[in-house]
Amino acid sequence: MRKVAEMDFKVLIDNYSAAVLNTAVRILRDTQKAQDVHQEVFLEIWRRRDKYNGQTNWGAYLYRVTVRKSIELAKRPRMAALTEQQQDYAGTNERPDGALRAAELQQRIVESLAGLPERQTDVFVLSRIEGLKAEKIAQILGCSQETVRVHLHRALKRLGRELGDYLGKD
Amino acid sequence: MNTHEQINEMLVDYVLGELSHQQLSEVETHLAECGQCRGEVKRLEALLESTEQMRELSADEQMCESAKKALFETIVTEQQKEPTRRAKVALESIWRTIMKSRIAKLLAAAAVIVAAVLIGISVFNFNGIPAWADIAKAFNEVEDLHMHMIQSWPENNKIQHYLLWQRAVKGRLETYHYIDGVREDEETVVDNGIERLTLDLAMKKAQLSMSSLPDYSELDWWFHFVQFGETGGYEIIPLRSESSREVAVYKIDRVGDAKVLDGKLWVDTKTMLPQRFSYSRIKQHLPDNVYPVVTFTFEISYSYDPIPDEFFSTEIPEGFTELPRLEPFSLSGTVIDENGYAVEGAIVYGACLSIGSKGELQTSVTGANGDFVLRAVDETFSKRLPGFLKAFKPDDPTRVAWTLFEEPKAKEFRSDFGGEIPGDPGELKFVPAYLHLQGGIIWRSADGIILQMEPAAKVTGTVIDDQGDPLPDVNVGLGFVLTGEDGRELVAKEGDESFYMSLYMCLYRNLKLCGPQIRTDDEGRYVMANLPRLWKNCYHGPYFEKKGYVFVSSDKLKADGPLEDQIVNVQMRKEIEKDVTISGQGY
Repeated sequence: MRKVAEMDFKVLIDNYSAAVLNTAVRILRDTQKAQDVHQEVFLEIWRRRDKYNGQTNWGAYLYRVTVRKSIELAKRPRMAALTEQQQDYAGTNERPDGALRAAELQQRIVESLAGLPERQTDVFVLSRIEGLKAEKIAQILGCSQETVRVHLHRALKRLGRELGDYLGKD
Repeated sequence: MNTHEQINEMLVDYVLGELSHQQLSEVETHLAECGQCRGEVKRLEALLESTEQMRELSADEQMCESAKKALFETIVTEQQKEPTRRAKVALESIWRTIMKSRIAKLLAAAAVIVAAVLIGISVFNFNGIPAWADIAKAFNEVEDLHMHMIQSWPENNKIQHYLLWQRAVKGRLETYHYIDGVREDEETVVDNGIERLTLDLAMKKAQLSMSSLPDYSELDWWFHFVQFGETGGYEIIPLRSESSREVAVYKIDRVGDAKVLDGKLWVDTKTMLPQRFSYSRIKQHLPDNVYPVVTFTFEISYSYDPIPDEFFSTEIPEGFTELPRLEPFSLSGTVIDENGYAVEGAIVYGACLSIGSKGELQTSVTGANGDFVLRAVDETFSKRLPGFLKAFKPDDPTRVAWTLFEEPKAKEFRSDFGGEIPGDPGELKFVPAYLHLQGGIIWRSADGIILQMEPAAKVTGTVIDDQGDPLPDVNVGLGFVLTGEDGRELVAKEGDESFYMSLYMCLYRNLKLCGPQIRTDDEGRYVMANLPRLWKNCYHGPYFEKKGYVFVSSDKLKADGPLEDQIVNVQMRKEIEKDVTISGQGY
């Protein structure tokens, strides 16, 4: 068994910080929350540093953990700290502008993702939000490309159905 | 040819652009005739477009650096993790303060509870900050709650402790304790939902009264926004960098209002319950007034341990003298005519500063010997001074008997009205109450009030709209405005005892002298009779209200000398005028 030494840990962070933050910020659309996810992900590795062996595929592992944690955080009831602008909108019947509607739709997508089977979520995020090719996704998730395709297919179908009202609005 | 179901299964590949040429044309043919599939394609495209937008976001270098820095700081702190000494020091100092108190016994028990609250704050890992609604929910489900607030004035090194115990099951129980090292004004209130015991600890006096527990939502002295998650007007921001796995920290602020906070709340992430709340009040603004800038700091600690039942006992402790039991609020007395004979069948009306409609007292009618008893419409509302009391016979608009209840300090502050106020409450027998340290402002029960009839004034008139048509159903009233010698309305200025007094000026202004609700009739006419003919340094301020209408103009009420019978005609107009039609002149 080889422990993750402090030096390795630093290398790990240097190599993957940006990727973790990118994934988190895309899902959460909030830099502070993304940093929180970043912190959680790496701190957990640090705390369990004596549990990893040298075989870990860090890239794949970090992708999956980051997606999971980001969606978990997005799912939590929203804090009172809405921005002033959002509060203003909340108080009026006026239709929010396009940017806000897009943000709302994105929030809905992420919330719906939380309800999908984990694999479908992973594939959807890696494919649609991260823009990875099926081959790379298959590698990360340790499955065949065909499986990736099936999961993506199902995820899209289901999200399309669940978000019908939001997606269909003009 | 594929069926609808088969085509439908291909739609995802269609929007992903992964169909063969052959498949593509099949799908397109189908789409041309199937609205359902067209709808689905539209939704899938919207979904893909939206997620593509999400892809455009990425972390910049600065964000990476700050995230890494935060992470390493946390790790370093975690490595240095050791028990903090802070809690112990704070506890010792509180313990010393408590033991100095003369009711050390009671507080010694309290200190045990306090001890459980003062948990050292560490800055370890952040593991998710609870949502505000969850905190409010957890807080509302608490049965026993103890709060200890330490208020201090750093400028003059003064400290006050407030302790509150409450239980939210059997009615609500509340103990309010106050220690002020300078004034020795110590008061404890225990209310068990059946009766209330008030102890004056300095004078060793005890008084029982009926229970008057506030509504849960009225407990704002301990900042109910924390309690109820009412975030309106407050800005609540999680401080992630200061939060840890165990404790979430929030910044709480309210800017630009009466309270200027610089608050921080510590919440246990396991129980979702507040542990500690600290804030300062930097200054206080009141209407027409600037209160001297004072900085207070407050430190509240919370505990949720079961409270011993004896904390809520209303038994009078040894060594205390019991005062006569405080009965429900009432004002009683006699109405007499100008010759001193009892007046039967007079309506007695009382008003004090309204807290909504609760400010009015029940109306009473005198019996054969002129006696009356007025009670509060709602026993629990705080009856603030000044108060106004008048009696009149409905069939005699020329006479009124009245008096004014005022705070002694306010009497000094306002100008002389030009004579004694009839039935001066200074002569009245007030029922003593040790309750409420802010008692000066409360209208206490009084008996032996003599209201003597004297000549009254009458104000009548007609209210018309801008077309000259009479306006029925206009709410008419008469307020009472204090003025200086120059006849101008009194407004407290900076540097007066003004926080207090400007409040008073507002209170007078809102006293309704006219009596129960008066409205215009179908011809727009109103009568306000039995009005006190007040003297100088004040004037009557009539008001006219009707929903959807605004006041335009009225005759002036004569203001020099005692109020005489007079006519005040009024014009109002519709508030919003859309579609104004101008009729042609016609050549």
